[in-house]
Amino acid sequence: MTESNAEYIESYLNNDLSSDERAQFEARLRQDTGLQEDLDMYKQTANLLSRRLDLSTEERAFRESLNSVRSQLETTASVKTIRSKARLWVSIVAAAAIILFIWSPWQVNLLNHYGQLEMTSPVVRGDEVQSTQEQIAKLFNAKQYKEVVVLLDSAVVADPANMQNLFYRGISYLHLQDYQKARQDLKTIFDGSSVYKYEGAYFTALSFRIEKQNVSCRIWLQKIPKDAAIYPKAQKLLEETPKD
Amino acid sequence: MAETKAIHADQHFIIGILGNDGKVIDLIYKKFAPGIKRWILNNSGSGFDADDIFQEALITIFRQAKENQLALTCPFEAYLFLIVKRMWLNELKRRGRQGATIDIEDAGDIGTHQFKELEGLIETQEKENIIMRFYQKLGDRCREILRLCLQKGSSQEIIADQLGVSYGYLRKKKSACMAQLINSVHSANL
Repeated sequence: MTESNAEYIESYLNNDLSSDERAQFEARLRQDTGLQEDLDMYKQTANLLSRRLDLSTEERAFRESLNSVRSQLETTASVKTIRSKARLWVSIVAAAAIILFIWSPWQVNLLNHYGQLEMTSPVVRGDEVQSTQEQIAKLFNAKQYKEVVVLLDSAVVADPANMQNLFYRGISYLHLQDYQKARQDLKTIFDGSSVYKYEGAYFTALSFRIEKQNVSCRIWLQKIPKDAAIYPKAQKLLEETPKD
Repeated sequence: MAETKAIHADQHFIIGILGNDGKVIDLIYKKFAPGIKRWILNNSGSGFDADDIFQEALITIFRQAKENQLALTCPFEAYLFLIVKRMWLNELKRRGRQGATIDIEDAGDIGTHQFKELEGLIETQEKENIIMRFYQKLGDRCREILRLCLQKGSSQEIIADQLGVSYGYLRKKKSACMAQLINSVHSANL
């Protein structure tokens, strides 16, 4: 299919053609079997792709359950041998103090398996700010992501330079399975230079992994340099992400 | 008609799948995955193929249950096997191997109407998977544009605005990405 045919078809399907142009397109369609085939293929491909890129919430949840059972079973065999050595990893990222529980194969899904996070209580600040931050940490740790997103929204507006809030909002969206919004926040983190920079890349990768977009997952993991605190976890996820 | 058969007691698996019931999904994996894995391994597949096909077959059942109110008239395992075998045969064909040694029974215990419906679903799902495989190979920008444009409910004017490009540019870029995707699927002769 030529790009010009594709653009012609796209304009037609999008109702961007004038009535004259439309009539002309349809006249050509009646004579040109090549254009007919291209139109059919274009519509079919767009439909199939849209169906997969825009999965129903139920199917998305079902696919995630399958992935989690599958990854649990895949790890069960290896866990049996190394469980005695398995420890809870604790990673403190500079002053931000995020605790990551990475190696917890008994967890139920990929997100919990590779990226469970706990938010620590805030450092001392002004009273009002502190109580909001405390509430955010409390809700986040209680996995009340819908509620925490509401608070984080206002916190991000009030202090856009605070990357911690943006980071946890991204993670909350990840839990809410809103991967597009999660990646928006995480990408902003990655584009910046805060201590969360490479955690941003890691969780972006994880979001792709959850959606079985393994190539993108690998690309994001490879953006993480060796000296980043998250590097060992990124390598582990990389090892366990199929090359497809 | 064959469709008037009584509903099999294994219908509870279908209900569990439809309700995304973790316990039922776990049980299905434990009970049926090993048998299917053995069968795939015996028929030129790998363990990874077996996991993939098993997962895809469950998605087919989920979709059939959701879209067509699937009523099981045979044991769940037989139904699952029917889908797995059909999918694996298609996969072997795609890999250029003839699945002549595989004994595929036809509709078997299920009605012809249900079987046709099933074949349609499998075909759609396989086409989706193939398109997704090539979609993943597109550049970041193409994937982003197609993802944004093909999700329902957002107008392309708004998307263009979000991306900071003109509507005309977005249309040009989107159609070029679509052409690239279609051509790559086509040239792989699938």
